[in-house]
Amino acid sequence: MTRRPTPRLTGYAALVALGAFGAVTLDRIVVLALVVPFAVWLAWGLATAVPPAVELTGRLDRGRAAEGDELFWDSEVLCRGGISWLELVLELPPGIRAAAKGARFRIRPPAGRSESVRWSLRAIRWGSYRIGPVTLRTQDRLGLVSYSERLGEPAPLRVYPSFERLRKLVPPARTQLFAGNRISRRHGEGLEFADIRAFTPGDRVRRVNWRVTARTGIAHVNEFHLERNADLILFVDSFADLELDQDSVLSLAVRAASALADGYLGERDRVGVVGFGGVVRWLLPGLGPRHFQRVVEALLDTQVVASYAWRDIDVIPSRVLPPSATIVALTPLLDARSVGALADLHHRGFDVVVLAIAPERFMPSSDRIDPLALRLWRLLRVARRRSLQRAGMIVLDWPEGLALEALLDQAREYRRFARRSAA
Amino acid sequence: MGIEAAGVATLVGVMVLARPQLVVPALAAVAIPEGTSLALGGPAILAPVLGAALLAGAELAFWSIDNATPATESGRVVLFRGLRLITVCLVGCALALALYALSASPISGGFDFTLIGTVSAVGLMVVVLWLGRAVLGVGGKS
Repeated sequence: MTRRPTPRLTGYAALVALGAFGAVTLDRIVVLALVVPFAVWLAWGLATAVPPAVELTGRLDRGRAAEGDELFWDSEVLCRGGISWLELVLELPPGIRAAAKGARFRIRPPAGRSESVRWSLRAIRWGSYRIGPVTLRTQDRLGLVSYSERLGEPAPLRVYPSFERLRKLVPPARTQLFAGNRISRRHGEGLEFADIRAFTPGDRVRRVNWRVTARTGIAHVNEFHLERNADLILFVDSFADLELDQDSVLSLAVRAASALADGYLGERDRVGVVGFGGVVRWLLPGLGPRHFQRVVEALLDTQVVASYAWRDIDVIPSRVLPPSATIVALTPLLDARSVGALADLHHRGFDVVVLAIAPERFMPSSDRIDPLALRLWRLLRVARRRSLQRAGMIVLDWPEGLALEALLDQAREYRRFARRSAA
Repeated sequence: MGIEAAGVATLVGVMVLARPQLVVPALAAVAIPEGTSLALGGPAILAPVLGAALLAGAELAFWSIDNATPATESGRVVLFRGLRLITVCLVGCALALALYALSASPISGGFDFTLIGTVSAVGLMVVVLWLGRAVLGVGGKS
C-alpha cells in the first residue's frame, strides 16, 4: 500500500509551521492562534488515519476475442473497515479501450460486504495483451493521506484480427503432390477432361472413349487433370511500420494475411507463414482448420523490432519454403532488406506475388513533412516496386480505399495476361 | 484591500482550474492583511475566529475541487462534513483562546516554566514526527 501526503496535509503543515515560526520570531502568540484550527485538523487526521483493508478479485470473461468484440472485466471488492470512497482504475494496454463509462470507477463500499464492479471493454486492435491489474485509490476521512495499491493479477487476452472473407484468390502457379481442389497440369484421375490417348494395359475400361475408338479402330482412353493442392507462404514484412489512429501498415498486413490464410486453407491448400523483420519468425506449412488457428497465433506475435542487422532468406530453414511454393508477400516496400529477400526468392524459382501496402494513408498530414523529402521517399518506393516488376514478379500497389478482394482481382488478371502472353 | 482581492481572485481561479496544491497559498494571500494587522497589535480576540474562518474556507475550497465526494451526493456526507468542520473550528477556537489566555497571564519566566515550555515544544515536535511517520510509513510505502 503506497501512502502519500495530500495537498491538504502539506499545505496545513506548512501553514502551522509558518505560524509557529512567526509567533516565535515576532514574540506574538496571536500569530500562533491563527493556525491552531489547522493544527487540530492535522492532529485529528493523522491520529485517525488508518490504511484501508481492501480485498479485490478480478477476472476477464474470456481469454480470446476478435477485433471489435466487447469484453467484461468483473471485480469483487470487499472492505473490512468503513471507507468514504474508493476509486478503482483498471489498467488497460493500448489496443483495448474502456466503454463510455471509462476505466475509472468510484464506489462507496459498505463495510464488511462485497460490491461488484463491471468494466465494459472493447478490443480495438489484434494482439496479445494483459488486462489489469486494478489500482485502487482512497483517502482517510479528513483527506490528509492518500492510499493507493495495485490488486489482482493481470489476465491474458488474445485478440484475433478481423478479416473479410475472400470469394476468389490468386491461383498458385504450380501445384504440389497432395490431393486438393486445384486443377493440376499433370494427367491422371480427376474430373476435368485433359486429353485422349491410346489404351495401355492397366487402364480402366470405364475410361475408354468409345467414339474415338470406333472411329479409329484402336482403343483410346480419356485423360483428366489431377486435382492437387498448392503450397502458399504468407510473407509479412515487419521491418518497418507506420501507425496512425490505432491502425498501422502491420495491422493491415496481418488482417490481409489472416484473410488469405482462411481462403487458401478453405481450398485445401497448405499455408505457412514467414514474419521477416528484425526478428524472423516462421510457421511450417500445414492444412486444415486447426492449422488456421496456428497461423493466426503466429501472426499475433508479429511485431516490429528495430534492427540494423542485414537479413536475407538464408536465415529461413529450407523446409519452411517448399519447392514450387507460391509466396504472397505483404510489404510496404520501405526497407531494402525485404525487397532484396523477395528478389532472391523469385530468382530461386518461387512464384512471388507482392501486395505493396501504400504507407501514405498512415502518415500524418503532409503539412508537417518537408515536400522534397516526401517526394524522394515516394520515388524510392516506386523505384523498388519497379525493380521487382522488371524481375518478373507480380507487384500490385494497395492504395487506401481498395478492398483486398479487388486487389486480388488485379493479380488474377495479371496472371491470366501473363499466361496468354507466354502462350 | 488589493492583496485581499488578489487572494480571492487567485482562490476562485484555483477552484475553477481544480488545483488543490494552490488552495492554501491562495487562502494565505487572502489572510495576509488581517494577519499582519493582528501581528502588529490588532484585537487579538479575533485571531481564533479568523483561524477558524480560514480553515472553513480551505475545507470548502477542497470540497469543491474534490470530485471524488461531491457535496451534492448525499445529505449524510454533507452532515458529517459539516459536523467535523464545526467541531474542529470550535476546538481550535477554544485552544487558541486558552493559549492566548495563558500567554496573557502574569505567570511567566523562571527556569521551571522555560523548561516546561521547551519540553512541551520538543515533545510536540516528536509527536508530530511520529504521527507523520506512522501514517505515511517509512519511504511512503508499507
